[in-house]
Amino acid sequence: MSKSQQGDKQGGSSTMLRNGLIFLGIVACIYAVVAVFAPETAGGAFMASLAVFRGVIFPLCLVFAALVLTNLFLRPHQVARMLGRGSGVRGSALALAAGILSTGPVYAWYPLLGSIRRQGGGAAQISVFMFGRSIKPFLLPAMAAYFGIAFTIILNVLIAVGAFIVGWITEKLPVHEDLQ
Amino acid sequence: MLAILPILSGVVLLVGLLRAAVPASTIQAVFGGDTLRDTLTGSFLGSLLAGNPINSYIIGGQLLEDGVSLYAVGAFVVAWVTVGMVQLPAESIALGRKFALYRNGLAFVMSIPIALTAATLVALLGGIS
Repeated sequence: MSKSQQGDKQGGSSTMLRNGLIFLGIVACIYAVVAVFAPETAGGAFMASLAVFRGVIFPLCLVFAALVLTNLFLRPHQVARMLGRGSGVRGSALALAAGILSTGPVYAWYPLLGSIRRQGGGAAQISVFMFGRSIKPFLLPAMAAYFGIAFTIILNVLIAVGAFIVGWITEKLPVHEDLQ
Repeated sequence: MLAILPILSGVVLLVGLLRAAVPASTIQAVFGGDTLRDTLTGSFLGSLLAGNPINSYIIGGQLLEDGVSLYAVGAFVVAWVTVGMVQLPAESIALGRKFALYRNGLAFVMSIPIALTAATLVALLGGIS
């Protein structure tokens, strides 16, 4: 990685940190307002947040490990080849498979997805990954128990098709110069 | 990785607030019976709420028991994971503002034909068995 690329990456991280702190500050203000007018709701919300946070820890560890491994072994040109704009249907299929296999909430994956985008990953492939995340093989029995086998199969097949369509349309939109 | 922590914390706190502020009974009360409007409502609610997909199945199952259509429930389940209004600020920061807006908009729109097609095909096959 060249010095200018390292500089860009550090600049992007500091911007993300600054924007993230502003966002967290806004959320804290919302909590403060809720705490004044509905203290019970604020307390319940905080407890619910703690429960959500406990559920995020494991996937975050997975994402952190994946980040370390990709930074160690994958170079930007390799990422661009596998998941970049020119990777075509194969890249989208790879992104769909990764999305299906991914665990935890989507926001735990933002650091890795942002890193992949900065290394040349295509907007289409990131979109396919994010849409494909709604297919969860280990949850299919539960889904079938609630909605029936036919609906479960049809819905998940349509989601896979929809992921490719969303990815294809995203690629056509002006989103490529969007990332700092 | 460190840079994303404030965003993650903010999203987790917002998800907790939403869970505490919007009970399941409120969700059930907003469906009126019109297929298209209920499908749109399902997509909108799914976009607004967040959490493990299993929660969307549980709420969706409850909605079905309460007489809400499979069209609306399907849209709700698809939008639950694919669209994230609560996470939109965080997604914008991490992946770009235009990207996040377009992607979420497209996912919202896509959840509607997916749900309509899936529920129609199931109805043609004889309904949920």
